[in-house]
Amino acid sequence: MNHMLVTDMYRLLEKQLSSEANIPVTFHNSQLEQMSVTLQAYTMPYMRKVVILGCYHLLQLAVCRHQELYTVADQNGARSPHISKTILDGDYLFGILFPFAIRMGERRLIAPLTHAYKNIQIQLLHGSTLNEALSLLFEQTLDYVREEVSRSKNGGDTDEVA
Amino acid sequence: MYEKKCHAARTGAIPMKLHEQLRIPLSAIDHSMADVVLSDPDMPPTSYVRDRILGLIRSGGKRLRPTLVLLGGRFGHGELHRDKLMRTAVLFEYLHMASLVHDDIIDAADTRRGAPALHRQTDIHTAALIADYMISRALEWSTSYDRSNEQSEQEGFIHANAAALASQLCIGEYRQMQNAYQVDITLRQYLQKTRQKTALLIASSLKAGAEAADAEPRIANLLYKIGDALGMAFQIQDDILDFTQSEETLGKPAGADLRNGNITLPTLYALQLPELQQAIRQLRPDSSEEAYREIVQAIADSPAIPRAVQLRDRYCKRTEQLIKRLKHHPAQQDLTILLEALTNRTA
Repeated sequence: MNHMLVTDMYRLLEKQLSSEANIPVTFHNSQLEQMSVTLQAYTMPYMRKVVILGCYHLLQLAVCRHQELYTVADQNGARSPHISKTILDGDYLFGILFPFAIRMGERRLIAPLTHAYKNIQIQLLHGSTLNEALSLLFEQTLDYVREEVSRSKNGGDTDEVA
Repeated sequence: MYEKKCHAARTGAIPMKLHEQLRIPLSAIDHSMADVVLSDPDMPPTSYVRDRILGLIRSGGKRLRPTLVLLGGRFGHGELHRDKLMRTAVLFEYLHMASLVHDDIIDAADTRRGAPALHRQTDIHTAALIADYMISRALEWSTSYDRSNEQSEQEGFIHANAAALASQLCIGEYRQMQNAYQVDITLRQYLQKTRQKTALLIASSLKAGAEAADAEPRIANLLYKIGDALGMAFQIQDDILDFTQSEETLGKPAGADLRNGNITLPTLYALQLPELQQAIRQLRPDSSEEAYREIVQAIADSPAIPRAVQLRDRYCKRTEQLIKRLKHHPAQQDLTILLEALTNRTA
């Protein structure tokens, strides 16, 4: 795992998320670790890697949060604060991706991540496991990184993070 | 003929639906909404997900958000940007529909528009994910590239802002959860929550339509303010009707907000009345149905309601004043129609 990258990413996300949401961003998992190591290999400004990893992690958190609903039982007409919080957290994490990506200069990442998020839902709804579905997010993020690196090599708009 | 029908409707001779008064093409909206899911190349050819979503579309709805977007578009060059406007309108309605699916899970609602709520037809997890699919597919569809032209940066921003609304709306919901059964919320907190929960989406819909139609930024921002004031009036009206309308009209027992621990304006004002304060404070989540019914009726009969109506009217007045700034615009009258329809000052 690229500890510095992951730690800096967590710090960045903690500043973005509203304290009212009360969502812990620290969530070590093998795919996050793998992404942090993979990003290391690419030539791009460090801060961009932090932001891209942040966008990746926001979506990962959103998916995992709603996936927790798989194990909840119907409350038979009673409201459940746990279910409410789980639903809201997933919605909030997905929603915050957009202003975060735009503010941090990764506007072009929005379309591939939205596409990945959509396909993750399709996969989960048709029987895939969480790991199988999340691999789509991994691939899509990596495709984006490769394109951006290629773009900057060709002298395109690097969309550098401020 | 159309003008006569509008006049007759406004004078109460013939009831006319809002979309008719505003000439909103509901069938075109529904057709586009179906296209969102039917045109998804990543959806398996036979999928229960597609069927469920088409069912949600068919179940109807007022289509208020797309109405607002299309109305906002009339203050720009809507005729030149029809496709963009419709995509934006459909996006807002999909975001709304998905939020209703999630809301119904949160509220443990049994029905929606007379039919079982989606999570009752499937299960909580499936319904939540279907809604997530709806949001992301609608975003993807609404920003799909034209084959000949690259999507404008502005359009991308409009749709990204629409998606970002979800996080802002969630903040309103978090606050509501935190303040559930908290009787000491202030008027300021109530107004803030109301803005976050309702006014924000109405304001954003109007503005998004104006921006999609390349309206002047000054006009788009004014429409946002109009939507904000209108949204506040609308929600206050809704909160009043929750106490004053019969169970038959509401389709559920009156005072649902209070039962769910949601302290709205009538209750807030009622708490300032010595004769009701103690009784309201004694209510608990597990208080009897009878206890709730009595309090709800007491609030409905109290001066709290006329006070709430006064505040609603202040927001209506604010909306009217803002609308007047558009007096030279042909579509100004449409905003007045919208205001009357949404605030229906008969309470």
